[in-house]
Amino acid sequence: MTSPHQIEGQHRIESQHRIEDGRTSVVATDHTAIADPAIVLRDVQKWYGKFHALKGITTNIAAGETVVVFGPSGSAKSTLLRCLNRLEVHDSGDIIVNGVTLDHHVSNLAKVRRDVGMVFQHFHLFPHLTVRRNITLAPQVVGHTPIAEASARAEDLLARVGIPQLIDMYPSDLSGGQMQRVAIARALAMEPKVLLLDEPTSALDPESIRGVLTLLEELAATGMTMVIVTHEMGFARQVADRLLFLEEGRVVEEGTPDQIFDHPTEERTRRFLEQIL
Amino acid sequence: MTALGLPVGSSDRPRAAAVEEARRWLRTRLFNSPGNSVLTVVLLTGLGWITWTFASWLALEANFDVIRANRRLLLVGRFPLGEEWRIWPVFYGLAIAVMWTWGAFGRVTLAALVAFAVFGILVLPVLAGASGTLETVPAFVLAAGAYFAARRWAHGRGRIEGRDRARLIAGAMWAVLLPGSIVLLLIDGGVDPALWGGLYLNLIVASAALIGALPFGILLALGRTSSFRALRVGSTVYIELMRGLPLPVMLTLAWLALRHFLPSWGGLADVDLVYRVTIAFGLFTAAFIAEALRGGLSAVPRGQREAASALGLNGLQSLALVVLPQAVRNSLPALAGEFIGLFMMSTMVAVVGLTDILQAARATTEQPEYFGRQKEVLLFVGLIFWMTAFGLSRLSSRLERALAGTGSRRA
Repeated sequence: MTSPHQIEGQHRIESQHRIEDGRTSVVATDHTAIADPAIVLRDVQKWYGKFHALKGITTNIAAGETVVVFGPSGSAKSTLLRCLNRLEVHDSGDIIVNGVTLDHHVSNLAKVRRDVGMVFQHFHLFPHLTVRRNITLAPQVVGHTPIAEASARAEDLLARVGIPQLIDMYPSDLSGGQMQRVAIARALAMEPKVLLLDEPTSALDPESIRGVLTLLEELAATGMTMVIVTHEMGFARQVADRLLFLEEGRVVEEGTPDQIFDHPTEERTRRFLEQIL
Repeated sequence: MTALGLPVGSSDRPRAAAVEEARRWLRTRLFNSPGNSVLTVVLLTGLGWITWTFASWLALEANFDVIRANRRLLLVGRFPLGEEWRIWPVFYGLAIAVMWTWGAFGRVTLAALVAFAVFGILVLPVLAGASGTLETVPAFVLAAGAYFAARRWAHGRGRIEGRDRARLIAGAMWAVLLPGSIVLLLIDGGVDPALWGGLYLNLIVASAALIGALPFGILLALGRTSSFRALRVGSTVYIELMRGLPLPVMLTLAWLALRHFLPSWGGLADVDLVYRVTIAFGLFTAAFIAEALRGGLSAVPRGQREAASALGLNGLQSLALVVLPQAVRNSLPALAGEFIGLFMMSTMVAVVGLTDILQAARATTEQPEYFGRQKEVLLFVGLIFWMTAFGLSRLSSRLERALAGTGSRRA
């Protein structure tokens, strides 16, 4: 089931690495910064026509790390996140996820999408499928898991996110908080190594927000690698290993919660935090 | 009563209250101004006159012998005697499929039952008493059996699971029925397509064209919304061309001109007329299906595709499992309209000289003994078309609800 495609993919990755190694030497030092990087970003740039959205993002995200990306609206936080599983295509620079370079190779893309789960602001559950089918669809058609097994796993996951009784409902029968829980379960069903969350609580009512945030805290505690775009700064402080402050497509400042919240070095970070806290 | 905004009287003097309500309703809705009063009187007189003429014609003048005598001609045209075994299984299959579908998607309500009874009393005597009466009896038994089996299946076991499975089986029945009916027409020597006729010809042409047109129409709709320019332009040109061409022109082309365009090798140009006409219908309908689907496609939010991609589904999987099911649901009312239209338009095969039910009806009125009986025949033909169209439109509204993705609490 796996062999021919994976070998081909791996071969491509290796050759890619060789080219890169020959090209720059800065890269090598970058690699050693974090022992086990799940995601490597090197000078990632993105334009929308003439608009320069991402102006050279460079950072490494370690396996098991929880990174919160925050910043004013229009700072391209979501764009950055969406580049990580290539929902948006970056124009230059490198994005390497679990050792696989995101480029135009379809096999690489498929591998990255398999390893990276995503949770959207507006859930994007499939309205024509039951909760169970929403969760089992990808494991079945992408992961080739037998339906009975996928179904059993869906039940486990739904119990884990706290709504086991809703498994045979349709999305339109659920509340916003319930839908986001299903979306999280759906993303987890592919057993991703990295989870991307794009403002997961922005579309929820205050009551549901708490529940979803608690769920995400639990998830972070299990050692899942997570990149979260959020405006919930209390939650960010609680859950983040590291924060990235983004403004106008640049990382203005990054650091641990204590550094960012208590001793921000940049004036702009301080001003933004004052505004929203 | 409540539908008209009248409260149901239940006080100490319910009848007097109801009469009073009715008076007020008449005063405020139908006679609230001189103009409206005149309009009401004129319309009621007109309606009454039409009803009276029709009823008196039906009771005193109408003679349905013409239909009884020409039943075979109307239903199957000049289909050879002794070859009916090719059609009876399809008839039984149709009875089973219709009633199974009904059971899987809805319930036979009291109103429907009454309508059936009235219809049966009116129509059965017209048709009964000739050959083939005995063969129709099993159809009723099979139909009832299929209905109750589907109901049991849909409501026993795990509710949603059973219901979905019953609906899948309904789909499978229809998917088998058409190829089956054509295979039956072709095996064991087959029947010359020139002899296919009557209602059966309408059904075969319309449903075969539909089955061909559906995938082609989906491809065209996808082509028209594609980001690939050549594909978009090609689909648009095809769709606009077909939509601008009158169907009779298409059919005439298929009849007379096609052989000049097709290469002569492989017998391609000598394909039988019925097939050529069916293909023309399919090509024509595909353009309209594509247009109906286009709206439904663009109504599927972009986030759906993104969610599918993020989960690792490839383009084809996301299209087939996520986007298209929603697009089809969105455009179901328009699609049902196209299907009904296709069935109605199948009477156009007259243009190329085939004998469908309408042409058969016309032929009967030229028989000297039934001279001047076209009213009865046309009423019968109209009733058949109306029933089919009404059934399709009811089914589409049930399907719409079934696919709406919220039915878990409803039956």
